[in-house]
Amino acid sequence: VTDETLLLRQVHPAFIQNDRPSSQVFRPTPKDEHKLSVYDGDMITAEQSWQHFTGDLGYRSAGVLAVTGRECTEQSLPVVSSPEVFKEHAHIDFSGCTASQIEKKGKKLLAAALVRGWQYRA
Amino acid sequence: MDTPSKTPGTERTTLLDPLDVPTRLEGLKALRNGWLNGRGIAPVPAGLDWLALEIKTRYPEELPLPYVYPVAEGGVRLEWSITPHEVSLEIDLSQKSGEWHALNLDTDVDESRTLNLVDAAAWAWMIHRLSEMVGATSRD
Repeated sequence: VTDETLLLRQVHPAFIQNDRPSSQVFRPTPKDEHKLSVYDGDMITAEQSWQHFTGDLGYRSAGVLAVTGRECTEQSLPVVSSPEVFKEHAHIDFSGCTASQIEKKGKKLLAAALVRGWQYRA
Repeated sequence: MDTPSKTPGTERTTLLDPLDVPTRLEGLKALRNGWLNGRGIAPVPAGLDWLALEIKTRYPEELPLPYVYPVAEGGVRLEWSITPHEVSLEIDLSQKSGEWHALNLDTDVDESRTLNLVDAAAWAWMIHRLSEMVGATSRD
């Protein structure tokens, strides 16, 4: 994962209203242990990631948004490859962040992703 | 040819705002446990009804309606984009409390606060803050 790597994030349909995604999209839930799952965009395209997520894994996704490695670094969020989950898997690590820091960083990542636009829309 | 009879008043139609909060909350009742790819707790219908009534009673028409999303832990999240502010209120329906967070994307300044949503003063504070943001935006 480099500064330029696109980190592809699947967006659950419930997290979209009137075409506006929730800032939850870039925030780990408590059960995620501060790790936000993404696909490494150097290894898979947005559409392929959506196909893997919805087809192979059987999950629901309305589309794919992306932030770069640099945008995570700017938020002091390490990005770690985690091929033990599957080979293209990585995670953005929110460890050590307070709840309000997670809110802030999640909102800033979503803002950056929305400037970039949808990478794939189902 | 028969002319359809009209009942007084039935020719009036009301266009529902696409962000109508009670309608959206009603829709969230369709969620079941596991809704978030095997995880995700379904919000309790009574809690959704409580929130719909609170919004209907306390939320002024002149303010922008929030976007409404379910939360994995069974709550509901209200969000507003009032440029340059990104605002959220994550509501615990069982506790009737909310975590307010507002970020000014231009200045990078954020604020957070826990609100007891049984308390009218908490709603008043939130509405005051939203009004300030809307006012500042409309003056720009």
